[in-house]
Amino acid sequence: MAYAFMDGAEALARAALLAGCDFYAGYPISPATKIHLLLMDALPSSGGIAIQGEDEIASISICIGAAMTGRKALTATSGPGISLYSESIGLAIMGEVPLVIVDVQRMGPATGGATTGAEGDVQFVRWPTSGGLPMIVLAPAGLASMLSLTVHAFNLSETLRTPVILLTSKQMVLSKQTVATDEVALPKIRNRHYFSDPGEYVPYGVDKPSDIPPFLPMGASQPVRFTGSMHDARGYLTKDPEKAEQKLRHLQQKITAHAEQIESVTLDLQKGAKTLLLAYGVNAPLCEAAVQRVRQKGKRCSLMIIESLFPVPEKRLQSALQGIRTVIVPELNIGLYAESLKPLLAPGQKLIPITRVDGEPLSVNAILREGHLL
Amino acid sequence: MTAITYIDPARLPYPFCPGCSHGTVLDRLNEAMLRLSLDPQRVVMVTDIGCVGLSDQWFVTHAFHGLHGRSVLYAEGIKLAAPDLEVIVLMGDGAAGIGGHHLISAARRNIGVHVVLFNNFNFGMTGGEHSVTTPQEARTSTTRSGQMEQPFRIAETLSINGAPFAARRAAYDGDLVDVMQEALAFDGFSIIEVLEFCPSYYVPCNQFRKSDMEALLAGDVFPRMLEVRDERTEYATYLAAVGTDKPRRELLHGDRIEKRFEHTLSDKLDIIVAGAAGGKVLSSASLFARAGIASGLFALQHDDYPVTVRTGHSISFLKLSPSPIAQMGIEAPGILLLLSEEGLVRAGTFLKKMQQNQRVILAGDLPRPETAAAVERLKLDQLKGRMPRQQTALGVLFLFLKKHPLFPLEALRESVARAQGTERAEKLFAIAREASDDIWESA
Ligand code: SF4
Repeated sequence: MAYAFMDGAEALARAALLAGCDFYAGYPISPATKIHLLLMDALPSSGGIAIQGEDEIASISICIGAAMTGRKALTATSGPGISLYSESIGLAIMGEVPLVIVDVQRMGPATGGATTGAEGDVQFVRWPTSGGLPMIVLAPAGLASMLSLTVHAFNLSETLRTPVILLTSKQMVLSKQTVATDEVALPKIRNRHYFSDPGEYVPYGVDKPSDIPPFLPMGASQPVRFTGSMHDARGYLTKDPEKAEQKLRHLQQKITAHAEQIESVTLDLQKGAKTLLLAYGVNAPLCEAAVQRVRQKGKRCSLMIIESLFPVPEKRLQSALQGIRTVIVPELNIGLYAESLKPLLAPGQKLIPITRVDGEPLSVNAILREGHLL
Repeated sequence: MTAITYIDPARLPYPFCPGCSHGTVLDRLNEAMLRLSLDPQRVVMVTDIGCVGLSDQWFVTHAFHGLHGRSVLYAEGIKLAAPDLEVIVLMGDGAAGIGGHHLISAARRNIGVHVVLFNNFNFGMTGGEHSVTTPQEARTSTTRSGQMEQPFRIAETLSINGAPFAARRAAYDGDLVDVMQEALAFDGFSIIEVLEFCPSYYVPCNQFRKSDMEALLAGDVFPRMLEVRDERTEYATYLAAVGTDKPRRELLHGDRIEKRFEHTLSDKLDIIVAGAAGGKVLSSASLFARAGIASGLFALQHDDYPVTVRTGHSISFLKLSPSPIAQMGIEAPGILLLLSEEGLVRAGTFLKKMQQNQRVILAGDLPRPETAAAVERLKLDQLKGRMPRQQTALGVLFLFLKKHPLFPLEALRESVARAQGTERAEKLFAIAREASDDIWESA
């Protein structure tokens, strides 16, 4: 068996290439720069294009243009950059652009701690732009997860014609770890559905609201109309309330109706357990270790690792919450994901957020102690 | 009037106010495109916000309508990704304000997109506010007593910042079609700034007539111009030609470590290697970790250094374990290797936390720090002339491994040979193997 010793940036870049990523634009920013450097180096071959934009707005906008010619585009940034991406994320949602957006979280707000890890963007990326539409947010829970989830992010962005945010953090991206690359099962690569009917191409035409409009690239033999303004099925601007509602319901339902396709969670439920440890991101491996320790002591504890943070995997959560009295959620922020869990809790179910915001990682011992697990 | 080809007859008339120059300029553009017989399916009209941003909907070509001031960026993305498309940007002076930096960057890059900049000196769509091109002293809804700011001279600015084709004309100029034809045929970035009338706002606010437009064109700020310097390579062409396959191959297949050795660790071990910038600390720690992995260990490494990378400390936090590693942080390391003063300063917090069963290793004549841990000194002066300074970090790791055989010295030799060549690997391996025990002293 062969191993690799790589950091999350290398894993992400490698998986992006495997997924067929052939366009990158970005702007240097700690701690996402390693991804920037790798893709700037690796893409200009086999038809790939990589460019450094003059700023973050330029970078994501260039990606959006390229994606509409059929490219599989990725851009990577950190807190200040994702803030600048906000308006363009709205454009990608509205125009139905396949695009993978990486946010390597660092301590914020503002410049915050450029080289200090944190997970403070969790709710920001859940509603990253104006207009209030659902967003797909995936958070790798380790290095193997980084490899497979990056491919998943591309698959979802392609098949659902939507931007997908890959939410990770400094610790994950810049720490090197051993990974048995041969053992990581990558999802099958899926591409956007191209329009191939003999009839007229209607750029935003769908039969039912949850359908995904077939794609034709700029330069196709039929005119392609792209727009970020409210539009009808043909891509012409409209103020017609009926058409506007159709469009917005479509943008909502194309995400919500594909919840199962998006969902990526690992459940390790123990019969009779009254405690559920719920983890994502950099705390996932710690929680796995913590649960092992609890069980070694003869106590019961269930574990749920969520990779698809948003939409919140409600069905799987509800089944995991059966018979549970206490839910423990460790996070490197003020308890952000816990906020999204509250509406799912039954009366009497207690939530214990374990939070750390000093830039240092949590520890297995801290989780055991603060979660009253032993 | 020229036969309408690129303009969709079913959608005419244009949506602009009576007397607005936008329609005239679009007609001239249509003529220029006709002269060049562009295939409408190979043309993308890119627009953003403002009255002129509505224009793409009147074309039978492909159309891309985006956010305010960013049209040139989408155009760049399209052109880079599909260099054989004709990409034409229609934007206003408002967009040149909010996205001026993008225009300058596109000009500097020389990406072969063609910008037609509709400059009517104010924001039409939102109510006649002043824009970056409003002439000095002009009145707008937001400069009631006259504009104080000096106008942004778009064509000149782009020209001196690399635009190989930059022109300015009035919307009514007889040669506008000729200039447009030349711009569209140009292999590189082109911009034509077209001065226009906005009869709903700027014209009535300033009693702005054709004679006033001519006065502007005769002045220093907005003169008619045509600067063409055709000597730079177009960027998309350049980008398509550069690049090698090597980095991509390495990223995809490069890192394969086979297990070939056995380790002796029964439990996890945290090691901190603390040195100075430029001392190859991080790469040496990484090679050590790889040797561990080749011996069946799991490894985790993260590094710490100041943002000004060539100064101060350089530290690697290394975790080795017979089983997978969950924990990232290190509270107190089992081994702390101190290579320099900078490392010693930065590692201070760990020294305080370390216990008797943990070990500090001092390289050379570093002062002995206060700590409860056992302290050993590695007398590097014994190796004077044999171990270059640049290789101290790696050399110390070899010597450490000889004394504390977590895994075979051969594993490190192989790891170094693979990354840095056999010569260096063999040399450091030999130094470590031949070093006598008295290179160590307890401090
Ligand atoms: S407001 Fe001004 S720029 Fe806009 S359409 Fe009317 S005249 Fe033209």
